[in-house]
Amino acid sequence: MKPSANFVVSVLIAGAVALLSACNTQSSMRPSGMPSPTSSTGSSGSAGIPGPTPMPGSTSSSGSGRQSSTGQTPRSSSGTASRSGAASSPGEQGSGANSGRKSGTTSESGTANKSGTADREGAAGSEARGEGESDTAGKSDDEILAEALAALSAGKAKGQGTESEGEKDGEKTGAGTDGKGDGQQDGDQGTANASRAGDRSGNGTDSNSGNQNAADGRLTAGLAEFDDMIRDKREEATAQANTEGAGPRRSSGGAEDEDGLQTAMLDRDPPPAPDGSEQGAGGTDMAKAGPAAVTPEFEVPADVGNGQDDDIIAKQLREAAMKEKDPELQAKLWEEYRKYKKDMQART
Amino acid sequence: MRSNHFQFLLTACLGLLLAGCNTTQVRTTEHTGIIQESTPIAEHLLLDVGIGIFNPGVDPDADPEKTGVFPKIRAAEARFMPYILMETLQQSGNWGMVRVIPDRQSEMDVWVDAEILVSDGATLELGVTVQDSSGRTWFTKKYQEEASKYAFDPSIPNHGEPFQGLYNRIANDLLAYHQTLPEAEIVAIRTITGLQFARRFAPEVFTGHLTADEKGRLYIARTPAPNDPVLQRVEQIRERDYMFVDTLQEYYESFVRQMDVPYLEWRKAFYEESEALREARAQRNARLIGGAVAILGGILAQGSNSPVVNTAGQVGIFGGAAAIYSGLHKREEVKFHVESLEQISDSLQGEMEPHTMALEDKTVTLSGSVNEQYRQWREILREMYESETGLTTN
Repeated sequence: MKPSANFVVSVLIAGAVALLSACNTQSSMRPSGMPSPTSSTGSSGSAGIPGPTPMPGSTSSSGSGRQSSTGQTPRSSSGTASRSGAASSPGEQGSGANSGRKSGTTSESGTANKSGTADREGAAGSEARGEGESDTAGKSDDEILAEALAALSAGKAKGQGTESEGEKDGEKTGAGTDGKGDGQQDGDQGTANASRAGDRSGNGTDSNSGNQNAADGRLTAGLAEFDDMIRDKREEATAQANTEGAGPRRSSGGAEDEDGLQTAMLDRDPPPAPDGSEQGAGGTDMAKAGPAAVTPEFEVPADVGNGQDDDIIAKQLREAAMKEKDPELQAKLWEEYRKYKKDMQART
Repeated sequence: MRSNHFQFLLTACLGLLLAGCNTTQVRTTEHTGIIQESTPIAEHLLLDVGIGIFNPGVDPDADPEKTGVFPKIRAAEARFMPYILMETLQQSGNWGMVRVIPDRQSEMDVWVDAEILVSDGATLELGVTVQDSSGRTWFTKKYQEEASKYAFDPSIPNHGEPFQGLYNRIANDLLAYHQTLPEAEIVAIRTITGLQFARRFAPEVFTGHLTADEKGRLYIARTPAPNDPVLQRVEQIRERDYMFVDTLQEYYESFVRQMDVPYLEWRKAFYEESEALREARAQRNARLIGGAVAILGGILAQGSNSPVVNTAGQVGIFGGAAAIYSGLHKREEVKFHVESLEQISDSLQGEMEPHTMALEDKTVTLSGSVNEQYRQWREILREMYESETGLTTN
């Protein structure tokens, strides 16, 4: 074959891969609020469709999926671009594969089908592929072209119809569990993962992942429902207390400090909610949820800041100071607050 | 013989003296302050404390006239007192979360249970048992305190809880025990609590993480990885459990606010009546016994040949009779005080009963809803476990 023909073929491959990458880049533009499934690594096109039987090897892949974190999506358009860029130059395909490995891009899923091999073994195949051009060099240009076109069509199909799966793949594997760096491994495995994905969809590991997703969804819904129920109950309790006009409590006088101040409730800071918001758990008062929950009708000294970085004790001191009607006591509470904040800053 | 008659006469005189005595009780109460750790306890060593509803220490159907205890008031006190102890522990700053939790509906590091042995406004006596989540009993102890008369003196503002010293002593004993625990033990207690909670929701996964010895004390067999996905889900649920427990606190707080003033008034009235009753009883007994002794001495003195002794004996007889008569009057007074106590107690019972029932209703309703939700979550976690492992559980 003439060098020019080789060049044309290379350009075609590069073009194909670039197109493929572009497809996947688009596919990664999922709304960020969309829930990320936590199922197996490569459910190509059918994550939500339960398959009839579990697949060997699904445990490890679903294991990595379980560990995934939505905040660690390794996929990025830059990663995809680097891959396509690498592919554009045959001489750098090896490094291109490598960069894909690093970023764990979803484009692997797109290219994956071309290997068409079975799951586990696919990893080894992908390693071979990642190592350089040996596979490519051993094939005729026609074969390479055919593969490239197949990959292109597969990539398009994935990009258009099943992008979410590609994304799921990336997310899950990208989470890098078990210290193995699955996200990177996926990048490494390239075709293997994709073939795994293809096989999964056919063989039904998604049955597990689908069940998991459904159960997770139910759990999340239940948690939200519970939050609503508790909120209602609290509002009801507050309203009832107000209606009944129960007076303020006398102080129990448990801990009188020198200034006669009643120490604020020193509860432990509740663990933050999964979404990072404070749900008010762990505190008796809903207003403990944070500075945002504090009503702004109280006067706040200028030097105490907005309380955004307060821990729970500081919040309680701040809240107590804001609610205090006696100016003298209020000044003491603010002084306590300042002192506490200063101590905490000194410690950190 | 003569000396005998003198002895009888002396007895009659003593009897009269006894009958004439007025008992005055001088009560000194020593107030115990609460001890706060001089250095703040590191957060990972703060233990959460759960306080159960106290055992009222009386049969709910018991007759107050026989027992002297008013069951409905005790029922209200059994919910009021844990809240005061909770406030005391919170204010000490030595603990993490401190909550009143009925029926151990949540998992806490330390549990405080108590029985009300005596509570009459003047005296409070509690039998307290403290355990940690591993099942180790920290201590079992009786606490008793008598209220100072100044505790109810309206001229002294903001006197607070009349038996605060008793609650402070409980808190101090808790702290003292806590201070004896090595750091590793404290961490272990916290871990056990977390595993108990996890086990409640995902027993398939977490049962093997705890082992129990023959006495039922729990030990950690192994710990789950911090990033264990099941554990993470369980932690999400635990946050909700905290919310549930906090909602209960609002119910209890509201109840305590409703109960606070009438209960204090009752205790004040009860204290005064109890004191009057105690005094009346003492006087009654002294007069009846002294009168009887004087009469007996007077009668025996009549056998003397000495006219002086005879006369003195007659005086003793009359004096004794007068003392007995007076003692009988005191009996009426005692009865009057008892009736007063019943009246003021009935009044408080009538006032508190709807609040207690409302509190129970709300607590039971909320617990019912929460438990149903928990059941569903347990089921979901079980499904997840089965789906992941392919194992089937019962």
